Amino acid sequence: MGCGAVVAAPRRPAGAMLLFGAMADPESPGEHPNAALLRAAATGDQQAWESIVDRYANLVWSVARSFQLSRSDAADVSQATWLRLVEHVADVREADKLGSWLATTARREAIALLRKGGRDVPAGSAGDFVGHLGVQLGLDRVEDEPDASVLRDERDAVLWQEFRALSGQCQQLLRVLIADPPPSYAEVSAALDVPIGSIGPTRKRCLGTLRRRLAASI
Amino acid sequence: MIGEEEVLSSLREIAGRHDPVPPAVLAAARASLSWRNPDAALAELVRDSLDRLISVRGGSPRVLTFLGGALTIDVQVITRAGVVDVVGELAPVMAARVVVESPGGTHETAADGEGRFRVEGVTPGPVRLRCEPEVEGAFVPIRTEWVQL
Repeated sequence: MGCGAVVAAPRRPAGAMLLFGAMADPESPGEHPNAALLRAAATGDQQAWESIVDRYANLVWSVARSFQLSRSDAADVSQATWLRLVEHVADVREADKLGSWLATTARREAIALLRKGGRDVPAGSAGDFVGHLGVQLGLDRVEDEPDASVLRDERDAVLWQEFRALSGQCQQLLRVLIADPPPSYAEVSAALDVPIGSIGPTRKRCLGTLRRRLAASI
Repeated sequence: MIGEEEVLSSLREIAGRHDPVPPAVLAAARASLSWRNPDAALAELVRDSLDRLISVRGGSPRVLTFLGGALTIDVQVITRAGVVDVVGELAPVMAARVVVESPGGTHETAADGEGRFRVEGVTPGPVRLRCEPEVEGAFVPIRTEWVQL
């Protein structure tokens, strides 16, 4: 048995348990596990909170990095995203969409950070301008790059190099798709503000380009 | 030719090794629950000069307005040498403690007789303000939403 159920035990007032005894199970049947974790976190349950953070920290980080932010800027975006969840932890209504909520928030915080820095952020979907951003944000791109010499083998180095040679739109989509654990398309859609239906075709096109270039370079 | 899934999982593995969530970022995320403050009313950001279509460049300070209950908090943000100064005004005028909170540190001051306050040297990043009555019960404590300064 995992410890999730123990961690997630909701702390309702005794009166509520008497009135709604049937609902007092840590996870009501059919309820998304996030619902119990959010309820517990809203009462200050640190373990429940950490379960949420550990599940989604990489997604939030990947969304921030997909905007070509430096590690230091991505750290601010991550922090702002988690603080915003704390702010709203008691009123997240659809627990099953928590990942999408976090992805949306991370996107908005990334754009807010870019605006603050006086960088132009045109209206429209994130994917429309990421290439344009890539040019503007050349700042610490180099220092933040996995150093080709430390990539485990030559094949990884070539793969990463070809990934970085893709269009901004492709790099952004793939950077989110390779979050760990792999995000749902709903989460990717929230992260990039693009329709769910566009993700499959864009993914296919971007991976197609990447695979052709890899085939040509190996 | 290498398959789609194989390419993705190889990229995921490379990102996992070379661009993981930095330990300090993970630690900060885990620690952020301590900023929970359910006893204060949330004041929402209702205006941010950065949102204007024609952004003002060339040294004009950013102006933010928060609205929480009957209290309006106007804030000017002045960026200098890697830190920010926050100059604000409460309306209506209240005798209030004002705390500028950020994960990088907390600065406390008081609104003067005209509702004005000033805090200098705030670390850029997520920041919020807390306003508490000097006289207990004079008004419900207010916390603003987090904004990146």
